[in-house]
Amino acid sequence: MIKNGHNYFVELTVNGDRHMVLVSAKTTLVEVLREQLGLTGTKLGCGVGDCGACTILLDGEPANACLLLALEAEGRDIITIEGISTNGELHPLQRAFVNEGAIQCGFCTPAMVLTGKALVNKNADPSEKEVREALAGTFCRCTGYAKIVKAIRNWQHYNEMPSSKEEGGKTELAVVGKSLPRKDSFDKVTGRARYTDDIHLPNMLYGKILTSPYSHARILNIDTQKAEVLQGVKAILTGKNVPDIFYGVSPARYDEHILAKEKVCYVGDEVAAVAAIDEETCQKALELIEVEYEELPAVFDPIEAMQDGAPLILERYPNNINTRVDWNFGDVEKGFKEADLVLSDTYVGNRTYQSPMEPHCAIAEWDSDGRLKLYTSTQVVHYVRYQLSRLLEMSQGDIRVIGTHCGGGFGGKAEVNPLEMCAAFLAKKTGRPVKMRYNRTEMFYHCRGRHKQTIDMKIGMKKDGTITAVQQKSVLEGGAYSSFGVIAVYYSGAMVPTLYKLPHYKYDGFRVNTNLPACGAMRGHGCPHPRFAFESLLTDLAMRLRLDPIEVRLKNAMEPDSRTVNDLDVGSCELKACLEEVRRKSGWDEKWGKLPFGRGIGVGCGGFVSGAGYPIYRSKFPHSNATIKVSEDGNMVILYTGETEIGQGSMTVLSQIAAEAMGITYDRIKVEYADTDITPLGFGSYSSRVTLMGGNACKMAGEDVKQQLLKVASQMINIPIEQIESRENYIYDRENENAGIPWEEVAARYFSEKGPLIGRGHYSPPEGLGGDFKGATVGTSPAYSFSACVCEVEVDVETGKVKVIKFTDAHDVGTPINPMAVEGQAEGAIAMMLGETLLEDMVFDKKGNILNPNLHDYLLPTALDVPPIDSSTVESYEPRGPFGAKEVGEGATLPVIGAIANAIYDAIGVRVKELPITPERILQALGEKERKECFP
Amino acid sequence: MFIKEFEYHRPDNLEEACSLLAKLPEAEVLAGGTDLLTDIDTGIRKANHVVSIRRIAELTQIQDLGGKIAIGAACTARGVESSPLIQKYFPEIVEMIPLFASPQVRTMATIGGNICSAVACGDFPVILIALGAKVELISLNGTRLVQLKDYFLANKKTVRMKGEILTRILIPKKSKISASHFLKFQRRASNSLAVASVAAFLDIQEAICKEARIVLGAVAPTPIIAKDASKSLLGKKVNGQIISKAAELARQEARPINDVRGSVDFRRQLVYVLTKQAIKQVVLKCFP
Ligand code: FES
Ligand code: FES
Repeated sequence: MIKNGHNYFVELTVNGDRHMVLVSAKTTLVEVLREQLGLTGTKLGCGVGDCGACTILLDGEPANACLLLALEAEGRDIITIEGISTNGELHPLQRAFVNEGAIQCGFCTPAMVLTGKALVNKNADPSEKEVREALAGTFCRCTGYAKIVKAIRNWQHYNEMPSSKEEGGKTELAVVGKSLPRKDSFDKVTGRARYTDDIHLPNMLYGKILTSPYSHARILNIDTQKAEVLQGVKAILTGKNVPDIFYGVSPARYDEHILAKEKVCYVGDEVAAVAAIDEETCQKALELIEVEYEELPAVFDPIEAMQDGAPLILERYPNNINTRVDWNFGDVEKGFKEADLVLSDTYVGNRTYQSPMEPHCAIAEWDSDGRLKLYTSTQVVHYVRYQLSRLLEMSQGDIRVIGTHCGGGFGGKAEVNPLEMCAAFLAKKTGRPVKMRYNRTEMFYHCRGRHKQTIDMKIGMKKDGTITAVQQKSVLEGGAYSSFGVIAVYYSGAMVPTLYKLPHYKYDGFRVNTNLPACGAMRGHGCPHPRFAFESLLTDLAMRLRLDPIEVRLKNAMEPDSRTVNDLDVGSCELKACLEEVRRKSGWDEKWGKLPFGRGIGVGCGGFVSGAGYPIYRSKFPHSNATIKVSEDGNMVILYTGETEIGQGSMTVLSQIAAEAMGITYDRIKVEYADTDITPLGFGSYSSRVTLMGGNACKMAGEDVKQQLLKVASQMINIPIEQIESRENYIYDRENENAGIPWEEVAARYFSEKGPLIGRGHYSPPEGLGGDFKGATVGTSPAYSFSACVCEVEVDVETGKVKVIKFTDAHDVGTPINPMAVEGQAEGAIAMMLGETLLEDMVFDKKGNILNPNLHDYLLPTALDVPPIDSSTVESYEPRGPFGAKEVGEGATLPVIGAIANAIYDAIGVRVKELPITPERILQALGEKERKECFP
Repeated sequence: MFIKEFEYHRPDNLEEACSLLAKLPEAEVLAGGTDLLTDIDTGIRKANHVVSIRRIAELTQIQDLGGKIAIGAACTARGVESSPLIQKYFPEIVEMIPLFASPQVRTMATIGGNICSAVACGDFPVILIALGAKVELISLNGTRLVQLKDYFLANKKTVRMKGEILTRILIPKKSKISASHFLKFQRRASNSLAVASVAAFLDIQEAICKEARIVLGAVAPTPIIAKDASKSLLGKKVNGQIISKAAELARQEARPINDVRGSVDFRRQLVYVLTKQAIKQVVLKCFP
């Protein structure tokens, strides 16, 4: 270490190489690795030692690079993910990650590989527990840890290169239905995958946003003078310099300005934005901006907010009621009269936050033609572009939005965000590229997490378990702005009648604005809390009528080809098979009602749409589109799709579908996605739409290519086109498989004769889905998924602590395109919902500040919290899906809360009706029960 | 993190470190850095100068001094955990370490740092006080030994004075008939802060408890000894009734606050349960 003015030269040994770098005293190792050495495989997920994404090996042991000063790292042996493979060849452990499906969004992958490496170096054959303990310092929000644990345990099987798995005999389909490794797994397992924050453009500036310290206040004045003269500051924006155009999600509820114009409505509301040479200068500039506020009375509770005389947050929503739903299907009163038992209860959900491991980040750059290029971590390149075109008042064609690798979204990146908008405006103003990113705390304040719902649920049932009527009221606490709220409140009701045959159903929904960060669309959108309420009450009814909860569910389960009471068309439906499967696999019959006090077993069901039937704003465009370009030699095919990959594996699945449709093998297809200049329109990754909608478009494009080729082939081999088949890179006579010709030869011939071989495909949902009442579009979908989950728990009745022992779940996802990816989605969904049920909750103080905007007090489950998960699919075929497939990503979340809640009830005989089900609430419930028993 | 700029010093030996600390204004000692950097970031601690002690060899050693074991303050949690001496004499500390922090933090965080941070929910102090540990403080003015139980004054305040470095932790070896046990309640299985923690130390001779220390963590501004609970065990045959009584006393002695991690009542209940369980474990260890 050599002192140089205020800085220091220090020599670091990274992956065996020596680097002399110039740092300041406070520079952390993660900054040096990422920004000076370009080793961006080390991720920054929180910067304060909570998440583990920045893990490196320090003298062979895992350590957080964000907590280590570069100066302290001198003389120590540092290994990053880039140092794990040699000469481009993966380490066996990396091969295990790839082939076992241990990678989804990939943001935690470098850390997981490194911690795994440190473990197996010392202990080549670690036990399940040892692996989970080793991983406990790194969060994975996607995988539920199951496949990561498996990969590390099985790593020695990958000492040899795995031969491509030969599955016995020839299956009907060659590519679809196989558990193939992800398309992006090599990049993700080596640290090469570039997320937005890994991109560095020449001459780039950084931007940051000043947010409101008050939950409700009028802005009297903003003085930016001092900030403007700060060395390094290049531009400042306030509400005055941004257009007076509202943005949002649903056109009828565009209610946000890029930066506050007159008042701020929650702690965290955006007030000003700064671009400067680095983030630290931005931060200093923000501190120099003087904002004069006049504090206004605020309201945080939705019930209070609806009262007359409550502070009005946005004028356009009287009584702060953002959206009111009033649905009445059939005659509930009649239904309740027919019941032998009617029960009702109130259930309270929690405000949870998606917490993708990758923080939001965007980089904007304008080119000399006046076009905007935006790199961003998003689920929806198209909607980002659409909103930017409105706000910048330019045509969509002049905006190029590029979705980079995305480290998880779960709904939190499903709408345009302030970083994208401010970066675009700041880059325009400065003429330089501008990068903006959230830190973990800013993510929590930006929010768009799950609405907290308070639900009154009432169910009538006959003695034999038949449901006669359901009545529900949901009040959704939504924060200051609409975001996806209007859709959430419709979903809260719309999906309740999809699982069971409900003859009568009444729903009252209120989406209420409060002075808190806005809630949006989070995985399962609007449905998990009502499903928790319904599944809890359903089990209560079963118990009171002395019926088996699984029997009651079977009795009422939705049947294939039904129309629900709220006019949704259900096609394929194997809910009964799911229930039978979990009953069998979980040992339900031996356990239910027979476990000792403190142990319990519970069941829950769920299901979701496979893509929304209607787009977010009115348009006639097909929802999904694809083009395919075949190389001139015919050996490589590029699939272009506007859908996004946020970790769920959509690009892998779409590639499999397109390859199958063309008759080529998986290794011959590459995919380009989410680049609005290059890829055709796709609405993106929300409402679980990509497999079905994107899949249908890709299948059609693949078939288009195939048809064009078959014509040429027919001439080449002189066989009528109807008789020719294309499969696994071979085009042949169906009647004589030996009479054939390699696929690429036909493709090359095509190109020679006709020029580029291009396939095109598009998909729109069937027209006229749903009824014609107000809000009938929400909940419509070409197809619905179904699932059932059984959970076993152990409750410590002295401390109230719940230990989840096992999950057994079964899903009707149609015919899986990639069974390993389906399992990964289910396992991840279960882990996430375990967190939401038992641990996660955004807590606010009386002034609207979040008390836990970090990952040490907002509790995500670790590898040690998630138990073994036995996940499977049941046989099913969805005629509207590509090769029979439908969704899994969101539906898999829905049975979980109910299953855990019911298991806890079975264990201790009392019900906790408020989420999260914390040890304190369990003790309270037990205490109340005791009091009641003593003083009835 | 937007840490305020500071100057970095890396002395080679203890004397140098002491003189730096004596002369530099607003200087902080840097050991593992896992607390210090976030504290500087959030403004909890101001530092114009940071003096790194990780390279001072004598501070990273673990020694057998006959009647006691001395642990260098700059030993990492991982170093402590893998030390044969600690494994032999203080398996309870080894058991505690997986509960203390994530594997990554354990690679960096030090035992001395966890003591000097002096946060209410620190884990090392709880078990170390139960074991009767002392800490050695060295400055240019000399060396002094302080009972760890007397070391903490308030949240983030200790008896350590400007210019002093906490150099070693001295733990008396236990007699054959004594044992201790640490328990921590955290909301999730790993990688989280204590809602409450308890360590119990008992010396049981001929079935009678001769010495007892019940230490509570995260339920007061500093770790505290539950004096009444500890006293209630003395001279007694430790049976179920006595244990419950001690646990009840500990519950009353706790002075917790309400926060996101838990309420006052809940924390008291945890103290009761953990105390009971910890004493039971100790008894089991004494009479295997
Ligand atoms: S970035 Fe270092 S632990 Fe989160
Ligand atoms: S794959 Fe682990 S966080 Fe996404």
